[in-house]
Amino acid sequence: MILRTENIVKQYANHLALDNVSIEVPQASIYGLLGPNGAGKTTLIRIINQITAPDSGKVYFDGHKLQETDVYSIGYLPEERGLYKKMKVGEQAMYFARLKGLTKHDAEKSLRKWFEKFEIQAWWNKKVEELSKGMAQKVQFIVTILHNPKLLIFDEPFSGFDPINVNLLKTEILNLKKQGSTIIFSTHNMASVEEICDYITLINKSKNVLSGQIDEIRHNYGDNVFEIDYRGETDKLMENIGNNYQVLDSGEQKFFRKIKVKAITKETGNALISRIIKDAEIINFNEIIPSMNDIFIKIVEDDK
Amino acid sequence: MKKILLVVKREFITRVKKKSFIIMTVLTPILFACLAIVPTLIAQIKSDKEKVIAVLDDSGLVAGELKNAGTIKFVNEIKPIDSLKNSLLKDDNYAVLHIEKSEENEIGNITLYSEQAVGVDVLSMITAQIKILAAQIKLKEYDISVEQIAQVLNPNLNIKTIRLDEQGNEKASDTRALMGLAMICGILIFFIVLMFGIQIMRGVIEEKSSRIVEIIISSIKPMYLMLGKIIGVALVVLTQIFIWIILFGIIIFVAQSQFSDIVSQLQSYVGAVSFTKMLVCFIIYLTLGYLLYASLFAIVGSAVDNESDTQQLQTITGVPLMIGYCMMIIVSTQPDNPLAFWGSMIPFTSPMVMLARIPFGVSWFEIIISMTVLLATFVLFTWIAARIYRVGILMYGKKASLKELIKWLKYKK
Repeated sequence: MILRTENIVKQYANHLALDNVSIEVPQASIYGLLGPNGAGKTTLIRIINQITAPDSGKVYFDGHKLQETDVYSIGYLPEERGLYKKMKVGEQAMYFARLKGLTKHDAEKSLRKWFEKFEIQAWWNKKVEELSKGMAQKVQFIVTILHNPKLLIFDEPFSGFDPINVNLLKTEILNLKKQGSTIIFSTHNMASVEEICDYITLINKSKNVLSGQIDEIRHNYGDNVFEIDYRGETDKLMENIGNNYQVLDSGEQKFFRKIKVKAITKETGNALISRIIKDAEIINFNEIIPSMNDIFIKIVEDDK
Repeated sequence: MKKILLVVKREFITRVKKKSFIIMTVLTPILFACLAIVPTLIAQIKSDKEKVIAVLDDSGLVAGELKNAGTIKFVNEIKPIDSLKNSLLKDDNYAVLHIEKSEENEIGNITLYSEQAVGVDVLSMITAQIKILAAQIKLKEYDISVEQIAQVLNPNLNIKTIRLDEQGNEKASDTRALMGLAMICGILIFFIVLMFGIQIMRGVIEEKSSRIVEIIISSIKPMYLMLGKIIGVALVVLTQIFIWIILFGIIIFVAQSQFSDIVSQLQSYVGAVSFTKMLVCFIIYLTLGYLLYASLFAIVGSAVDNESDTQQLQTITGVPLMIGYCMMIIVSTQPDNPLAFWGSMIPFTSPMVMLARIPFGVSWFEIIISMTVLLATFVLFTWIAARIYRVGILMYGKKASLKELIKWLKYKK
């Protein structure tokens, strides 16, 4: 575990921002921090960054209690982010890098490397106000990861990027994971969560309502719905399935038939296959797993 | 500590590199020098062309007595006034001065004809000359000489001001000159504190409104960011004053003749005890006063989202400064006013009021108490500012009221 929070409570004047939130972030993973607006994600992130302190609860980082020098091992890209408009890009990147503890020499060396990689060397002497929003975001991304932090925290990293740059960023994030960095990733974009996250925590109304490995969660939230393409007699198939299943949908294609069923009592896919395989040729068998989007909406709506 | 230095360096360098800073720094002394030199220069480059004023004196009292001055030359004429007026339009005469006859030994109506409007300086020169002539004529009637009158009107009196110190020793003092110097110092403190206080406020707002602040405070504590900003701007102030002193020195050195008065006055100050006291106090009060108000302006900056929202809070910060300024003016004429003592003790006004009091003699004891109070208040307010600041810079979207600021002060962290 690179990061562990234990029963974090944070109370603001008239609302409870975090209510006993515990999370465990395994090393070298991408950890999605999800939740509706105002749920308390940003507060939790700020606590990890030591921008605010919790009222009670503990934060452990890399095996020890979180301490002031840990800011050098954490990179943070806030949702609300900007740069000094009147400063030159290179100068500014150097400033942020040095605030993160890099020496002048190291900062310049790795900045040049990253500027080259992102093909933005020409911006070094430009003022930030001359850059577009997407360009500035690239600079911010570089500044965040420059000091090779063990833990990276990205709050809505893809907002403001075009699809090409989103891909570039995703590739870099996956690269960082490969190199051993751990990434906490806060977003509302569920498609990208499914794509790159290993674990998630869903925070709703200041509480941790769901935590775990993403595939496991999706399976656990499965409704035991199966979709089968087959060749054979429909009546025969229905007979074989028995009363245990409710038919949601069925149809006829040119070369095969389609059926969608829901198990009333929980049953594995294998059991269903063994029931139907006797008299039908299975072309396609699919368990319908809910998307993170569905799970998110379901939990938040149910909690209302 | 290393991080504060990084912030100080950034604040300093970005400000010093700004065009407005360079222009202000270089232009101000030049502007002052121009104000001092240009009028004399303009006087020197006046046209050398002679301006002839024809004088037709019917009274016979004035003609021949008028003295030429500068380029103005008086020429007596006896032609009738109409032909003089006609010739004025034709030839090059500048003006025609017609003095009518009145009673015996009495100057009658005076008329000055001219084609172009006559300059005020010429008019007043003529008026002055004729006034004296008229007075002399009258005095002659009473048989009094001009010198006698001069003695009556300007008796040769000279009041020396001598202060007794505690041992009863006498010290000559020129309070007026020192008072002037004190006022200049006080006014400088007022403007510098206000100008650079607002710069700090703008800096905080910039970081807040462009959303830089959250990136920065994930690397450095808000308190250090604020201190770094205040110190960085302070260095800018000191640099600017230092450059000004050097530039003024150069200007005064180059144009010594123009400033001979100032130079000799300055020389008479340097080395005098009160001058040193003044200089020391100026630098200390400027620094402490600036630091105190800087933290107040930092609070204002952290409490708002953009500059147009600062009005109310800026007023609260600016009013004590204004009061101090007014007090200073009152104290410079009424040093015994109880306002003077309290004004020079209350930390929000003391930087200006105490300086105004120094020419009238203030014991070091009082000065040190006043400075200590100021220092303590600065420490207290920096602490308060840091607490409000770290909450304020992360609050977007609403303008905080004074009540809210107090609530922020109580937040744990």
